[in-house]
Amino acid sequence: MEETLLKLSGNLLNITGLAYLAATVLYLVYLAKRSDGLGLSATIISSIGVVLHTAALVMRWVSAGIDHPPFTNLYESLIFFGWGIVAFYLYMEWRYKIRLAGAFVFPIALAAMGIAAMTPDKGIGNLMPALQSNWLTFHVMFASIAYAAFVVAFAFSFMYLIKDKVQIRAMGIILSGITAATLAICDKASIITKGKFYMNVMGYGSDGKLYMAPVPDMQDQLQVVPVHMVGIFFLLAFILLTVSFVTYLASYIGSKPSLAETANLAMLAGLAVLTIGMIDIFIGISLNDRLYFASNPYKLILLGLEWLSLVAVAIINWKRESIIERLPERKTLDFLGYRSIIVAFPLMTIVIVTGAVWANSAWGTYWQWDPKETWSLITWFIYAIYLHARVMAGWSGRRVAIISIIGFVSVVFTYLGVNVFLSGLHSYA
Amino acid sequence: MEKDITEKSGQPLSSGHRSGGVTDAVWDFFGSLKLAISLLIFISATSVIGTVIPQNPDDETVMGFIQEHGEASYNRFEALGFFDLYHQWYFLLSLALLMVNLIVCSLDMFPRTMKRYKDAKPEPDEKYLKGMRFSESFKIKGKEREGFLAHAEKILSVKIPQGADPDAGPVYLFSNKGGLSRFGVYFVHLSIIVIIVGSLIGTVFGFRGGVNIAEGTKTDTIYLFGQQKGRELKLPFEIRCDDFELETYEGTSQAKDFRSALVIIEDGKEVLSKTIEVNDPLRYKGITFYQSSYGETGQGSKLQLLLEVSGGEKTEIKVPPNQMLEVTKLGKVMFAYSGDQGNMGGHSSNHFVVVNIYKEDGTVKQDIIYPEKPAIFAPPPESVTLRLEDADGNLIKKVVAGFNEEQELPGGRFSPGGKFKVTDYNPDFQGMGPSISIDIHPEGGKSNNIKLFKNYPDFDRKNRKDQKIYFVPEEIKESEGETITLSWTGVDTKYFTGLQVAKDPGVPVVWAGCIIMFLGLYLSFFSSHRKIWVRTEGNTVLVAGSTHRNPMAFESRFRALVEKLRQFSDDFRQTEDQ
Repeated sequence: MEETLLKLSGNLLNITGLAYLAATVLYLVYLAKRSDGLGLSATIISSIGVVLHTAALVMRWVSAGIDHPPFTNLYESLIFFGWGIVAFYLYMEWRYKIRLAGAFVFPIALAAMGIAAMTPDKGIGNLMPALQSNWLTFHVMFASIAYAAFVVAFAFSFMYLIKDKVQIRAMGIILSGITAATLAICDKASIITKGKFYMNVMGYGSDGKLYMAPVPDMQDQLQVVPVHMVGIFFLLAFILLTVSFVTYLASYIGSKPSLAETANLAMLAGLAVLTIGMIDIFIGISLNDRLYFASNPYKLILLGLEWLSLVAVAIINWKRESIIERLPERKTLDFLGYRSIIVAFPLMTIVIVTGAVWANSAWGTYWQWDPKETWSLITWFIYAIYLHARVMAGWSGRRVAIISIIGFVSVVFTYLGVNVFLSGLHSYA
Repeated sequence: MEKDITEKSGQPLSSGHRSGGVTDAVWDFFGSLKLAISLLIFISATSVIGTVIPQNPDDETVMGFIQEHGEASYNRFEALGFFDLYHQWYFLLSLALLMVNLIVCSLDMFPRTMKRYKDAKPEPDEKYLKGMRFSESFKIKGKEREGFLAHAEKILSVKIPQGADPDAGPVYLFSNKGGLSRFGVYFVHLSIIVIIVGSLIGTVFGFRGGVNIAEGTKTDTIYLFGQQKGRELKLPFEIRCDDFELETYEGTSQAKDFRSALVIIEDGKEVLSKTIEVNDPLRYKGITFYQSSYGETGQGSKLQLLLEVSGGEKTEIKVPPNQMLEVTKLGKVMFAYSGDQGNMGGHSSNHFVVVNIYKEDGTVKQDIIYPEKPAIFAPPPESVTLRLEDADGNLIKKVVAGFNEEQELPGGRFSPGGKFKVTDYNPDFQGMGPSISIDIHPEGGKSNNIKLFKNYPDFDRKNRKDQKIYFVPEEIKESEGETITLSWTGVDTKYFTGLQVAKDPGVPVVWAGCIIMFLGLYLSFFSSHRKIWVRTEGNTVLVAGSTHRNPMAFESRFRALVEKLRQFSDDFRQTEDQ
């Protein structure tokens, strides 16, 4: 019975993914073309998708047992996160009737589902004793919804900046800087000093599960391998993106607008090479049968998100005029970003507190300045600054939109970056 | 025409800059938003350093750090206090400043908030009400008025003021709810202060440490973490671990659950006992013991065997491996474990126990126990009928041999001859059926020992090559006696339980702070100060409302309220017409 439920859940999730894909396309086209029919069908398809998604999650929970909720490993957390984004977005869409945001929110939800689909281990794993707690259920549930609300807030803030005619180019340059920095730090600078991109090797243990080497009973204890020629492509991308970043800064500080064009070209070139590098990762994985996506999920997800953001910015820059015209009024966007954060902030507070309660009963202390805990607190601070800037200092518009986006970067770092770059108690999720 | 769904941003609550004097400037500084944001950024930045640089590193980590970044960096970071960041003076100072900042700015804002809270106009004039953002009026008939006022009272849950006369002038119904929501922010600020205080109480008056207790042992000393790293702390009582249980997921070595049966002994008496597991600790006198980890002690683990006598009694015995023991029914025995004694609970494939029974006559009976296959020790057979055959399979002679009875080997053309005897019998050797062992002593030659299997008569022929004489077992006559079967049911691993021990009197304070914060957030974001006026003058009803936050939500409530009020007139008229 449990197995059929699990299978059915998996099938429903596949259909959900397709529904979200269709919805994303419809929302994007709706952004370009003025057609209420398109917008309505996007809403309908995404609503159907979210209903199926909910059913799939419930089935998965039932099949695993009541005390094993469906968000205890990477795959499940991504699926649940995708659900949260769509559910919260549809609620906002219903309440405030802004459909254009779908074009900015759905690609992120789709990315979450897509990354989940690439995870090979979709089974229901065994729960570590530390994770067997009701506080876990609350903590992760609230975290997913809070993150989802932050995603939606980010979308509105992003739309605001576009409408406010902020130089899209500038956003691209900042993204280049962040991406270049990520590439530089990866694996203790192995990309820039050796031209190699490493991934952990995995193997099957005697229980049939994938493990990072060393695997019990495994002969060959090789731990990391350089993946194909990825390192070289990434090194080249790093150089181009750094050039782009530096050149733009120079054009800004030295007031040489001509340099901005060079910077933009360097960024696009860097993006192209980065794309080749990412494709090469897939080639590398298929050539070496001990490499799997799951070898380094967080690293790949982070790079994937940065790549996706660069692509999105490049596209928006290309179609800027028509998009700006179609977006709702700035004050609407500003207001909706605020409403989203008003929901997200108390939820984030609950996340931090439930995490502390859980930590207290599992490890004897409610706060250990663990990287995940610390960064979630930093995220909380940033949004607290956002709220104070609005209410106390009367800030609105561009300045708070920027704070909201900085907050979102912190959210991404809290969710993924900590797992990639820092290790701690949260290393199992 | 796009609906305006935005709301006006609120008026700033602070009283702004005061004029004159250093004290005022200082006060403004400490209460300023700029200071608050700067402090938050500073605390964030230092916290980030704490996540990148290992905190309170043990010696191994320190060595690793120096190897990677050099001793100079280590010394510099050590001097800056980066290895114990959260106890450094500058970090604690920033927390203290944050508390001061919260107190000052709250005191600053409070009077104004109080004023606005109290500033309720129960009976404003018509123009005032008509000018409000939410305002509607409609007409009712004279005779409806009394009933209408009663109806409105019910809906708003307020009563008309005493002595109000509808014929004398306007009558007001004033509902003033949710004023407390104006104070949400003070609850939030207070909660932060409470939480910081709670954490300070914990740091000063509490401790955190750990201890490993081997099963069956007790201790009263724990080892502290953090600042007082490595320092021992003596508890005012002893704690003993009676038993440790590990449950793994079927077929794997992954831990599903692990539990420790603990007993607290104070002044020689057992005062508390509890079995703890992860997420379910033991608390005694403000000290909490958390199930954190476990490990095998590497010694003292025992093999769990089931000893069965001839289909009769079964006894479970626990025996230490690789030691000479006296075991009932078996005598002098040694159980040799195939692998590493410290890992007997593991799931490696080379996993068996060799049973060596040392008989009084100097011989050793041996068999092997596998997890799925028991060892069987049968009494010696009464007699064994053997066929002695030559290399071509022709019968030389048939021998009926008693157990341990010396027999003659045929000589002549099968020289050199000699002696042989049946020395061992196993009713089922490793699933291959009945087997006997034969000691062969050829004349002037080396003795050797062979095994024969009743179910495999050709075994000897296939096993030894170029022999003159081969043995083929024909029949084995068992004797009366006890057959002892030994099965391997498990390993009683001697574990130690890894406990974390903590005392934190600040914890309830912190939880109280969290609850206050939730209350404050609720008041700040999900409720607002709502005022509603229903003014009747003559035949006109004027309904107006105001909220200090979130007008969108208020609007729908307001409209619904007006509908309900209007409903009265419609119903009244309907009943009238009938």
